[in-house]
Order: sequence, then structure tokens, then C-alpha cells
Amino acid sequence: MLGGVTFTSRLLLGTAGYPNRDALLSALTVSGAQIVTVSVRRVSLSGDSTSLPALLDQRFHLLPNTAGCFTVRDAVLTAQLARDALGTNWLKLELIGDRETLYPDVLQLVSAAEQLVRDGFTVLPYCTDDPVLCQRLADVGCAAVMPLASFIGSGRGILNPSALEHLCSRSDVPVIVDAGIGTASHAALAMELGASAVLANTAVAKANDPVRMAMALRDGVRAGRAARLAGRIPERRYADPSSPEIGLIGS
Amino acid sequence: MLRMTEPTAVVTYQATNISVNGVTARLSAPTLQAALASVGLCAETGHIAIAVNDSVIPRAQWGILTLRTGDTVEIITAVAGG
Repeated sequence: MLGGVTFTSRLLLGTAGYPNRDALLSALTVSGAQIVTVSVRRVSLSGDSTSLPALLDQRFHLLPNTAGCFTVRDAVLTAQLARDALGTNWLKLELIGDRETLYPDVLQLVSAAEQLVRDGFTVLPYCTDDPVLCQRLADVGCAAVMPLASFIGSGRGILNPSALEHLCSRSDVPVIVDAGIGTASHAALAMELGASAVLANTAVAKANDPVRMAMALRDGVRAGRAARLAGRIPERRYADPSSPEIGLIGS
Repeated sequence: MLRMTEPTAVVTYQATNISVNGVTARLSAPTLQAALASVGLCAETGHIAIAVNDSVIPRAQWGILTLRTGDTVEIITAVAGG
């Protein structure tokens, strides 16, 4: 359940960087993802014959982002244009504060989120795993928080699992792990730690076999979610034999 | 600033200083329709949106909006993104 809509898949996928349109469509299809992200850019005369949104919008819930925006003004205008172009008030709010790390500018993020929520958007902000920041974002009306696991596109997985677990345990809104997912085990771990969903792009798009990686992430998310619901055993310091200790021969 | 007029009102026009997607455009007329045409689109093209001087222009006004010297037009669509 996200922004008042129920989804059956807990995997969201980005659409950038695939080898070609066929690989993109096949990967999205096998992944089971229902929400896919797009970005907003100036139209170019040398565009493809079929526009990407025309290709996707019958089959997926399009989630436009404000990637590349460094100011509240640019993010808000980009959001408004995306809403007009795509007919959706959903938004992945990205407000970048640093070109090298692509870390979010958390000072501007809260005020942009507040403004966009007031303007009727369902705001899903790309943020850090700071619990205070995430609380502020929830307080101003964001529909979820989307903490980065590690740098965008780095594929390094969840660098601070304990912070993520803590955030998931107390967040008032769904936690969607965004950025840094590199492979299926990262997605599974995010779900085991209590995340509501995972968003990946580069992990799939740049894999040697994007379609197979899309399946792997789908299964990783499912496995991690099932493990979370099953309730894992506590870790122990020493061995604890699984087999019975009585009735051994020679005893 | 924006003004409304009938699209037929403009007969001749010297293109000056109207920026469309960051490029000074040579428009056939100072209208949004001409701006759209300059990037190969029309008012019926789907999945696009327009801002003039940082304000989003509703689609209903695309056919009737006139532009002024110095206006900045942004025409966007959705592309692959993460």
C-alpha cells in the first residue's frame, strides 16, 4: 500500500541505461514491477520514433523523478511539468546537494517536499537513512521515505544495515530502499531488515543479462520479505546443536 | 508575461529572442504553437508539458497563447530515468 494504492510487487525499477528497448521491456516485465521511474527532460528533435511514456504508461504506474535538480525551484517546476505531461501526481523527489556523491540536499528536501505535498503531490523523497530527517519528511506528508543504501549507481549494497533496520522499525510511512542496490542479496537484505520495498535501476540495466537480473531481484525481494514475515532466529555467540544430544550410540 | 489572442491574429512576425529549450528559436509566429512546431511537435502531441517563464501552461491554452520577446519556453517529456 503506497499513496493509497495497493500493489502486489515490492520491487520498483528505473528505466535508464538498458542496452536497448527490448531488454528494458523484457526486464521490466519479468521483474513483476508495477511502478517504474522516468525522468523529465527537454524534448529533442532527434528522439526515438516511439516515446518511452507511450510505451510504458498502459502497463506500469509511471513515477517521474526530479533527478538532476539542485534547487527547490527547479524540483518544483520539474514536478509540475511531469504531472502535466504524464497525468500523475506521484513524484520521486530528488534534490541533489553534491555532484560527486549525488547525496540529497536534506536541508532543501524537507521544504520542497512540504511545498509539493501542499500542491497535491504524492511525494516519495530520495533521502538518507537519518531517522530525524525521515520523521520530518513523514511529518510534512510524504507518502514514503526512500533512503539510499549506498551511492547511486555504486552497487555497493546496504552500507549501514543497523541504521536501516532501526529506521524501518519506527517509520510512520513505508521505507523504500533506493540507490546502491547491486544484486539480489542486497534486495533480500533490505527486505529482511524491514523495508517495505526496493527500488533498483543500474543493478538491472547494467548487468550482463538484465532480464535474468530482473528475475533475481524479483526473487530476492520476495525471499527477503518472506524471511522477514517468518521471523528469523536470534543470532547466538556459540554453537547450538540442531540434532538431539541424547540417544547417541556408545553413550 | 503572457497574453491570449486568437491564433489567426498574427499575420507577420520577426522572430526575436524567444528561447525554446535553451535555444533562441526562429519562430514563424510568436505563438506557443510555433514554438512547438520548432521542435517538431504540435498541440496534440501526448506526454509533453510546457512552461513559459517558469510557469506551467495548461494544455487548453497551448493553441491560443502568444509569446513576447524574451520569453523562455521549456517543452519537456518523460525519458528513461532511475
